[in-house]
Amino acid sequence: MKKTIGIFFVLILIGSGLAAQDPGDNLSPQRKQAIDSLALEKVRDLSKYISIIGDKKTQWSEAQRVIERAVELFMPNSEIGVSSLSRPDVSYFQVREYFDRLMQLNYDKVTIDWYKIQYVSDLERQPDGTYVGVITIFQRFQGFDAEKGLVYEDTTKKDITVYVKRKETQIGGRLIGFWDVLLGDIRVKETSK
Amino acid sequence: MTQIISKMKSIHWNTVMIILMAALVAVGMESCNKNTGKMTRKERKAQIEMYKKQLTEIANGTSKLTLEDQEKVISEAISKNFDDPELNNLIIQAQQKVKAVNAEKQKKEQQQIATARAKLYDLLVNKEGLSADELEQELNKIKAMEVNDSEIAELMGRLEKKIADMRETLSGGSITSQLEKSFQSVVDNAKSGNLNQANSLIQSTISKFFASEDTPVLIIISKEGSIVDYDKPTTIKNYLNFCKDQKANRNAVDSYQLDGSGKIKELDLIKK
Amino acid sequence: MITRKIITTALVLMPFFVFSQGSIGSFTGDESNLYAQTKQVNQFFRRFNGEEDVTGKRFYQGDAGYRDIKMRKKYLGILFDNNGPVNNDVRDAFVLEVTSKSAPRYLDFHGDKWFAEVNAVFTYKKERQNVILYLRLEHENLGYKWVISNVYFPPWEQFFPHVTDTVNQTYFLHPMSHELDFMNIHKAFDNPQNVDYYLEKNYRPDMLTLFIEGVKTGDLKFQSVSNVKFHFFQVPHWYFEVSYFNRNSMNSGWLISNMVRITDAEQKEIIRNYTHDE
Repeated sequence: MKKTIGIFFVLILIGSGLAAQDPGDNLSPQRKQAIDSLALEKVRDLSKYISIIGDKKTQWSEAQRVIERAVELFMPNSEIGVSSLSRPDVSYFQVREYFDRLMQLNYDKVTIDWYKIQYVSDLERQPDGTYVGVITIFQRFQGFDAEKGLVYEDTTKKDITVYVKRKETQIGGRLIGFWDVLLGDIRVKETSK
Repeated sequence: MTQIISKMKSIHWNTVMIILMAALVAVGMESCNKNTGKMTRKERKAQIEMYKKQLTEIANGTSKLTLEDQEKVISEAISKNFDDPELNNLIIQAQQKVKAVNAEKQKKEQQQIATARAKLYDLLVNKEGLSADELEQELNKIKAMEVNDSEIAELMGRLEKKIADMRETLSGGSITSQLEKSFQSVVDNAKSGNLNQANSLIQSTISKFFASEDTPVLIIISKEGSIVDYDKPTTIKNYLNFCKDQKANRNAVDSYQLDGSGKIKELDLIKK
Repeated sequence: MITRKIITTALVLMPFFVFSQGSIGSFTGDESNLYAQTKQVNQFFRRFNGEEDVTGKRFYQGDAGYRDIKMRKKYLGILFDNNGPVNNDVRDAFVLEVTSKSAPRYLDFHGDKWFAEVNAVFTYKKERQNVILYLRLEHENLGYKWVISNVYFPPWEQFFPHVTDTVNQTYFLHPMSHELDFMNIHKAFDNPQNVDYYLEKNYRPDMLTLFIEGVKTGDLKFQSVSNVKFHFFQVPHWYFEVSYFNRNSMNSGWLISNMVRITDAEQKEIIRNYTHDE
């Protein structure tokens, strides 16, 4: 009898726990897909910003404005770790520093293209409940000299950390649940030719 | 003494007892009757006079009561069943008067409905090419007639919609389509490198449609039953600048809320 | 052997060629290599388990194709480094065992018995040195995190040259030392180089503790990560290593770089290197 009662109470606790669950838990595949798409969009946004920042035709003030927009995509203290085939040691840059360096590259013309392929990892939970994932994209960079033409080209694999957290806010009296997506550390690795 | 006793003995006490009891019952009934509301002669007379007065006024058309109350008075008088010839005559006259007044009222209402109907159809067709404001003025006149008819109510609804559509068409299309055109223009100008033009379009879009540049914009990324997932809320200014920077508008207008001045105070978009 | 591996890989990855040919304009010749590449460790898990298709589309439990045995048999072969030491017999036996109908084996990201080996560069007393850090995933509160489970730093081995010694006839405390209140214990410390003769025979040096001490005192300063690989013990009686191959070919990305069949006792012994678990 006591055992039955015990089991009954456990079931009630489990049931109430399930009923009180946050809509951010137990994501259905469709919601996961929507969140993956949202995360991928932020990465696409970043790619667009990088193209604008690196473009020599972009005016300095406009590039600065876009750098601000790009930095807003990131968690504070995010870093970009860069290595190349010739320099395999990883160099670490703060996000803003990386964009400033990109803007100041010494080429007459720069083209930045993105391969269509991307790969989105599963979203895993870290101890504070925030979801974290990695999106892999590939970028082709070409640097041109006015006289010599193409002087530098590389293809890099970019593994981009994405943090996803469900938050709530009041908008016009409505309680809105939204997914806050922020980018984190990026590992940039040159791929073999 | 003996005579008295013999007299007493000669009385049929049974009969006396019966008579006494009957008298007691009669008295009791009278007091009971008084408790259940049965009128005395005096009260009955007063009531008859009252009804005669009221019914006379009704028959003459001088009654201040509403038609409904007049009908009530008549049915009350009938139900009392006073059996007074003069009163009965007055009841008949009052009934006839009320019937005539009702008929007149209905006739008038039917005329009003017919007038309103004809007018509304004319306005819907709008052969005279009245403006939205003029149509609205005519509609308000019809509303003031306070015609109580379902067909009229429907026609008024249609006319209101027509007026709203006219106003939207005048300003260049529904708000939704105008917004989406504006967003696309910003994107097209950005793609062509016309950043100044894009910036100018952003400013004009905000001032034309929105309560302020900080009007909240919500983007729906997924709807599953009662669970709606949104992207991080932004403002219309930030959203338009984002479209310009990205050279793309990836969202469609889902819904909006207007403030008292007809400006958008909240905009919901949804992923295309 | 290599020819067979190349042909097998090409046949399995034929859909990638079709995919790239079908798309006009956006793809270059490299795109097919990029699709074929196991780009993330996460993708290694999914491909191993048959939880995604050739285009990278995720399968969830209940989806047709989720953990499909035929697909797994096809995919598992391409997860090996074709130029590595794993021969066909070992590979085939492994694939057969993990795709058996009666007891298929899957990798569990949240499971234990898999470790990361991080080759890192530190300065140790201002000199550049390589340090190997071993990490594992640990559950905490609402999620998981990577934690350092052990360290290997060769310079510290010099402090423990005698720990496994059982033949020395000179440096020991005799069995009646206790009757003299261990007055002779000073001999263990007279010559500091010999102190490790006086430790129990099963003692293993705890380099992780030395590492923490080194970092906290400033002797050790982190510089960079050189490379990362992973060690898997989740499939009973099998150990394999996964490394990253940065090359312009379809056989690239995270691949099985080594594989050995092991006993339970061997597994226990090897795992001791990566963690302090008993």
